[in-house]
Amino acid sequence: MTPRTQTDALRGSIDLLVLKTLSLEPLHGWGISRRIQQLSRGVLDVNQGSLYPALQRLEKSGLITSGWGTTDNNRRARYYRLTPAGRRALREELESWERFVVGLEAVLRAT
Amino acid sequence: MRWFYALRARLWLLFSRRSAESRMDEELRFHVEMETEANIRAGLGESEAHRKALLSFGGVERHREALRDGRGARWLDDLISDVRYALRRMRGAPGFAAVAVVTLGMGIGASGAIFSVAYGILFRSLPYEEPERLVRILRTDLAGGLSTSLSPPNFMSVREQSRSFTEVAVYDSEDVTLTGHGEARWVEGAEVSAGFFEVMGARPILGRTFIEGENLPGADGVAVISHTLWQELTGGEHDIIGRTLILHERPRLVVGVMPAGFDFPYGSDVWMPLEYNDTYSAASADGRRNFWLNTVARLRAGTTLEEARSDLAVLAERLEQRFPEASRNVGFAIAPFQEVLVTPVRAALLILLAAVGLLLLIACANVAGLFLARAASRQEELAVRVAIGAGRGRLVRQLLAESLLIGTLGGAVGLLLATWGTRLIVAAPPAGLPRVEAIRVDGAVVAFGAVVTLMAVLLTGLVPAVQATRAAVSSRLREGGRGAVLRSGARTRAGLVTAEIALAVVLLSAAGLLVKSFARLVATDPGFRTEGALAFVVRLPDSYDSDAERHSYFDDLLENLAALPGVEATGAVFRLPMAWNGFSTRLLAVDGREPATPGTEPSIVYRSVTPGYFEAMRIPTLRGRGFDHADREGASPVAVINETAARALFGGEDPVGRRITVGARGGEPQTVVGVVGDVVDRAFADVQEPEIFFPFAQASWSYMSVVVRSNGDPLALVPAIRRAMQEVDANVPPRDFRTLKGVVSDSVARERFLMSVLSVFAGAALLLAGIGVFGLFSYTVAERTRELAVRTALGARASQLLRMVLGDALKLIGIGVAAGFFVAVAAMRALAGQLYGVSPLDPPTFVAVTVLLVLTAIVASLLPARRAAAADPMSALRRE
Repeated sequence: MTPRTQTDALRGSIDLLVLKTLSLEPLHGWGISRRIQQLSRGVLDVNQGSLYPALQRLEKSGLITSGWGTTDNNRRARYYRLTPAGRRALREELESWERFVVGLEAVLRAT
Repeated sequence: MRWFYALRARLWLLFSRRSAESRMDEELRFHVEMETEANIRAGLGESEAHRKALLSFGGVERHREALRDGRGARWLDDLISDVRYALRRMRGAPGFAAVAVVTLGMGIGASGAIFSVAYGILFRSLPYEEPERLVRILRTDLAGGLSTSLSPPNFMSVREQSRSFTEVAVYDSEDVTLTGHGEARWVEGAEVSAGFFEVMGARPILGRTFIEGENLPGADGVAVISHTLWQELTGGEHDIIGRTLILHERPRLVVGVMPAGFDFPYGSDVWMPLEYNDTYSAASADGRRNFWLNTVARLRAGTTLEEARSDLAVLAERLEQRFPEASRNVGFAIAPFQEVLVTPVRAALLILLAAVGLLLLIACANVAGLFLARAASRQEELAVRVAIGAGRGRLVRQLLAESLLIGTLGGAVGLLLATWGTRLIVAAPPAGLPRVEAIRVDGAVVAFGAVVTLMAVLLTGLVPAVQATRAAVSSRLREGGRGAVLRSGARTRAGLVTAEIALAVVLLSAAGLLVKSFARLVATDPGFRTEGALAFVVRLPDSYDSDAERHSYFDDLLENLAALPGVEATGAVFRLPMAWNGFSTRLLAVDGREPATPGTEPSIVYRSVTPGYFEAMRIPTLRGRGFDHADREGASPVAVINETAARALFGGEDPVGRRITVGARGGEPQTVVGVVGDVVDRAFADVQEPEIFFPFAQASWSYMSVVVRSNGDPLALVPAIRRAMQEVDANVPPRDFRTLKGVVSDSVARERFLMSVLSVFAGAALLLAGIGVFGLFSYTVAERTRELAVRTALGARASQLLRMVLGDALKLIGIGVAAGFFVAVAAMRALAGQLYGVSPLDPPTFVAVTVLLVLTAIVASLLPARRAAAADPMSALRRE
């Protein structure tokens, strides 16, 4: 089995990561990528090339919404936050992810 | 809620391109800055930090492209830029744009106007409850003729014994005078049976409608009035219920008011109960042959027309058995109500629709030719675009953007024209056009206009776009390549012009036939002299309820009128010819002929006239005499017949002195005292029928048309006539003053309308075809400048070149005209129903059309031809 790069593994789950990150607090694009890095203790490094299209996609689906805001350094940035539908979608995705992981583990740990 | 966010995001991305782009830029820039700072903090140098930050994106520009595509608006962006470009190009050629827009606008406008008329009349449902269940009960006779009238006993039989209807009603128009409320005036009204309002599904907004019992003789007079009349009389006060109005000298209690917009039938403003006499009974044999009531009925839910038909057929059989003499060969038919209303005009409207469709096609062909010429001039530009990678589809879309722009503008102009045209028709409709109130420009018409515009855009844009891009893709950027390209463009354009000519032939033939037919129609002798005479209507109120009173009134009136200065002759008639058709009666017996078996008697038209009528109308007396004052009640019953009757009933023998018995005179034999010339009964197109006249003094009616012949302008006599009538009885006002010329003209109003509109279309088609020919040949001559210059240099004379171009023109025209006639011969058959005295394949008309088109095409190609002949070889060659 060829070792999968992080970007490959991430591609399917980037939406979930963004939703979860935004559920903690509203953030701008760079902040999201930074936070994911922090939370995963450096394991997950989001490719910027896939982050912004993902943000655009989620916004078109109505799961997140955006607005201008100011950072701590008084700079203008575009902040994203979850919509109620996004919160619901996150819950559902988390549930199915957990089911998936449980199933996966069961198979992998079978002797 | 999710919908809201999603939609908002999508719309914003789609439409605010500039701010979407700048936002994208700003976000990406911000991200790169933050990443750079983080890199610096991690220890990298400034430029290194920045480079690394950019690298992490993997190519910002490609990223931007990806985001842009993610907007999902690529096609819209392209469209907007194409349209902007097309706009710029159009501004550079305003003449072309103006001509194209105006041409399309006229075509679309004309189609829109005709469509709104046809749609309103033929397809809009009647404004009554569940109009699809409203039907008319008709009567069939032995000859298979269809009539819209029933007799009172028939009506009662149908109402009581048929199972197919929730209610059956009859009505008759009964205009009445309204007196005691200011000046005496006429009000349009109707007498209706019980259940009339139930059938129409109309409920009063105040009070009630009629109840059973109010139709019986001796019942108190009641009336229901319209919304309009209510507002006029009292300005909308509710105490109108219970007030008494004097209608035709009879006091009536107002019991109800109908809602605004309800004015069935005939625009009525007042409804009164139809008075039932003894014949209004299913058991009555009397009066079963007095057919004069119009019916309207409502089908039961779930009953089909077929079921109702067979139900009525069974009833007809039963009636025939029970009342053999009265009901033999009387059958019933049933037709949807709207159909009966519009059938007389359906054919004409469909013809107009077809004609305007042809005109629109010609307009599109013209504009397509214009686009072709323009596209041809862009060959180089298009070739360059192909060279740098534009796909063919993209090119076609760019060219279509121009026709989209022109088409949309043309559509807007067309909508405006259609609205004006419709308003014009509604304001001055031709007499006899039914359902004018249903004609309006609304959603359906606008939708039609949009569809037509789209079709026009495709028609005018697609052909040139495909043509030009095919050439562009296959040509190469060198000099010689242009020739082949331009020739194929010219071929397509020539094809378009040929098609235009063919369509113009069809329209011109139709117009020509209709003009000829109309000319024949109005040249027909109506049987009376129309110049210098007028007619008006007198309706006596119910207070004149004896023959003697009616005789006395008209005697006095006619005497007074004859004494007026300027009056040459005067007389009165029941049902003025060409304004009304005469009533029919059964011919029961004729001296010297076998009587027909009861139930199969032929019918004859009859009219009641005063002495002096024939003179006033200048109807010639051919044999014997007309009526005089000796022919009065109590004297021996006499009659006058027309020429057709004399021929039909007595062959070549002298009818004077012979006796005729008809049903309308109660079976009493009448002695013929004279024969008069034939007069058209109702319409020129009708076959001349036998007719019999009775003296008013022996057969009086309470409403008559009075004819006054003047030695000058008849309308100048109107004030004097009004005064004369006031002197006889101030409560009887005259109405409906019309010159006899006007009466005849109104009787052909529909034919005139069809002919005029079609002629306008044909004229427009001729003009457009001429312009098409002119444009085509200007174009081809310009492109052939080099060839023509070479010919001149080689010794060709100007006249030879002229002949060459004209020859090409005639060839084109010949093909077009031949193709057109091919279609016309088939199409004109559809016109046959509208033609009078002219065959649909009338050769002189077709010859005239050919000549007209050939002349037009020659004139149109003359100017370019002369330019060709005058081409200066040296300068032309040098230019190349």
